[in-house]
Amino acid sequence: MNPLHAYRHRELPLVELVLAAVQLGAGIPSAGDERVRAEVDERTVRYYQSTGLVDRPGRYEGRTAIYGYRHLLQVLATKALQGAGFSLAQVQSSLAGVGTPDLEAAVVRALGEVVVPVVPPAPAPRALVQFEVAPGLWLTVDPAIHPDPIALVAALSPHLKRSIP
Amino acid sequence: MTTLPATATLDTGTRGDLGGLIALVAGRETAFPLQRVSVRAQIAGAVARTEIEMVFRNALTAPMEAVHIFPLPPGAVVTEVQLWCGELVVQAECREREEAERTFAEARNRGHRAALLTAERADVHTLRVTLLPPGEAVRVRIVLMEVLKAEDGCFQWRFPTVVAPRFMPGRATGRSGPGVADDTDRVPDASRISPPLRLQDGTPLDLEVAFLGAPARLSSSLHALRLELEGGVRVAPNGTQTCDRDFVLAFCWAGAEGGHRAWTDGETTLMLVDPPAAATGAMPRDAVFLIDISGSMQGQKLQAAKRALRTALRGLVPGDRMRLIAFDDHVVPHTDTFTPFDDATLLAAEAFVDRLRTRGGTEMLAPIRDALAGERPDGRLRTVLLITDGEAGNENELAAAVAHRREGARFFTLGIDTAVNAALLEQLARVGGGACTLCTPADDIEAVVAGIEARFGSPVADDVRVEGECAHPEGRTLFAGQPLALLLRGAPAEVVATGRTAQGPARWAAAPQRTSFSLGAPWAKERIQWLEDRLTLRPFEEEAIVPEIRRIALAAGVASRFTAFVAVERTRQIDGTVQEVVQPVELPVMWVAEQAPSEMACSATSTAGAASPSGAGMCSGIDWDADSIWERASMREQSAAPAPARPAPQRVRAPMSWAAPSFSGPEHAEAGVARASLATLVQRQEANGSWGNDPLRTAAALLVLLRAGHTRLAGLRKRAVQKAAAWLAQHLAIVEVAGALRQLAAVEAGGDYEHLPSALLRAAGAEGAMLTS
Repeated sequence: MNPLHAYRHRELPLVELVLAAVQLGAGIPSAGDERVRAEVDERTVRYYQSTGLVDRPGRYEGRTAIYGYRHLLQVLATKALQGAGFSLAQVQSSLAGVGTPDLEAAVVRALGEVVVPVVPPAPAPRALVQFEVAPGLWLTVDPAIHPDPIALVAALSPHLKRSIP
Repeated sequence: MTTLPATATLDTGTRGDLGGLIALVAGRETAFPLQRVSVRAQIAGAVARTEIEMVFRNALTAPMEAVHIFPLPPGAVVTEVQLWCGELVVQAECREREEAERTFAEARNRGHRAALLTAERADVHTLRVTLLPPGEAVRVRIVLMEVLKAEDGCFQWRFPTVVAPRFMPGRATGRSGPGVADDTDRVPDASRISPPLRLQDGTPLDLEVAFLGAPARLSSSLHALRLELEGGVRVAPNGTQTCDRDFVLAFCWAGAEGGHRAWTDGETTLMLVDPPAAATGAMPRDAVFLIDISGSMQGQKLQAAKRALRTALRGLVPGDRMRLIAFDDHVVPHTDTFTPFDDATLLAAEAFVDRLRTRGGTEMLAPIRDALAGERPDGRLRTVLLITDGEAGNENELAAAVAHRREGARFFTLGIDTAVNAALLEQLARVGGGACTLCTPADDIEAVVAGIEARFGSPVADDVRVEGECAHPEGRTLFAGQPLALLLRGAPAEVVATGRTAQGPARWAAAPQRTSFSLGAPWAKERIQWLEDRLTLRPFEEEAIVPEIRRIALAAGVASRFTAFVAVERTRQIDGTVQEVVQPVELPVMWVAEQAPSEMACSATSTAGAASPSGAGMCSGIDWDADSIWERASMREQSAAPAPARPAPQRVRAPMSWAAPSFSGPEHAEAGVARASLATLVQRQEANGSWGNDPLRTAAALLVLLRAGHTRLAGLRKRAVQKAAAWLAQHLAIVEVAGALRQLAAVEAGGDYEHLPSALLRAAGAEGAMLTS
């Protein structure tokens, strides 16, 4: 089974969307610049969103945007095409409104049948998530070890704030 | 530790390939629905009727719903919408907004093509066209009516073509609209006013203005103009244009030299009250200057803003006090209290202005509150001048803050941008008892500030109203150089406006001419605008005001925040799942774009938007994040590739032979070279109005200015002349000084300049030397 299909009905907060894109993206062959392709982070996704390369979030849970399968496909397709030498502007003007089935078929073909390990052997530093828990105090979490970093930080930050001298 | 399956590490599965993805991109035409925008405006008297045609095409394989978020002039009102499917025309109906949205959704469910036009703000509108069949196109035609702004003897028609990215303060709450910004607690409709950013190319714009009459002194600060004189005067931007900046057309009517004027369509009458030339009150001022240094002001816009601020500072006189406040997402005050205006404080203020750099978001609420707060001594007038592009989404919050100012403060705005948020800046001035001036970074900033200085301070007349059912039921304020448009029901043979001036009650009359344009919609727009301003000031009266707006808008058949246009084409049924595409729009010209994260050597780890306070405030196009601005600034210095050059804005004027008899002041007559030396001359003027505290040098400088056509009453540099003359009045015992002041009075009384400088004056420093040359 293609690893992509596991995400068909998944709902992904931004952190998980990035994580999925990093893991799956590693399975897409690169036609050009390896460095460009590897870079997916939350800033990237937000930028894609502001240009319409990624649709607006499907829904919100409180203040957290929840993304889905189509968003994941859009991130993967954009990254792969960028790695193949297309400019973001070209990708933007051609991918606008392309239906999910077409997008899925193309991304599935790009992924092939390569099985991607669910946990990357060496987590890329990009996948780390940083939170500013108090002014000037940053906490870095590895989501591969703590699958729900937001909940973790929410639980920790009152204690940390209290401990600030 | 578990062992990973062999396939994972050995990579022996079927290798994927990019063929499928590349096929989606390579050689494909653009999938953006908006093909082109055509604008045809007709201008007669003080009214413009504009027809906009937008062509939407579906390049996808499934039916499309195209969404376009676009601006209209904030003073304009939509009176008609048509949906053209081939030769089939469907006239849209004006309904209550909720009902129109329901009708539209039903049409989509039934497979019918439909169009929906809604107004989000006075300027920002949304057009939805649904069930566009694959490979087909539809046209949407929108008709607007608008009363033009008049300023300093000219009319200005400003047509915006793009909604610029606005800073959305507050915490994200969700997404109710089609845009790319999250709604926040402070901008609950952010997602309705934030179109996606287009990365390359733009939507072709085909714009033409036809004059019903003979215009003169045409100019456009952001476009080069092309003129057609066959069959009436028509003006268009020269060359191919896209929707990336406002079209700003200034003109006046040949032979119409000011004065009060009126037009009527038989049911509604428009009167233009021309401000009489009157000396404004000499009350000492407490002047606050607010300057926007947020990321969106980067580049030429900040340069223009600094220039405006420096010029405005020099317009103060001894006895005034000043305060400078710069702001981005922090308030950066120059001083915490007012300082008296003198040489030392002027120098310090200028040094502060020089040091300003752009960074961060546009958080205007705190500095506006700061500017209006504090003690207000009797006998002093508090004036606030806000210099900004106005690109913030929390307009309502800002207008409320200004509207709740205490008596005795006046709020002025100077908008500098290629795609300025005119709706906000006009509203702030309206509710703040001040005046709004809009310009572009390509304008002559000194001339713009000279115009503001005439208005800065006390108005020419207060409580201006017209007998009859006026669209604006309260008295209005009349400022120097900005004629006031008053709309009233009925068609009297003579319209009479009254007002209160410093000299006592005044009465102005005009006999209306017939106009072929209907004035009913502009009347409704004016009344709705008044009600909207009232709603800002008194949100608790919502239950009375909103139904009133709805009633007026429905009766006049115009779009408002509570009414919308909907058209449904029922003859054909279209099958398939509809795919929504939101039209991305260009970044306005002269804006500095955010780079794509992957296009910069990003070294930082990612930050989580949900937890970071800066995450919610992000907006497309411009990175408002302070830290990354610095990061990028250093990046850009290293990068060898220069930013793509944009065509430089040009300014053209109508051929001389065709222009009206010149009634322009020295502003326009002054030659460029002489003007530059005058600029340096004025920069040497001390805060007290003298040159080096020397009566002879000051008299010489006054005569240099006078020779170039500047007096206390006219010319770009009247402020400098006023200050010099006031200072010289203490030194009347010196013969040269008395002579210079006599000469000034003679020129002001209509005489010619005919001064022969004495040897003593000719020797009076650099100013004396200028007088000799």
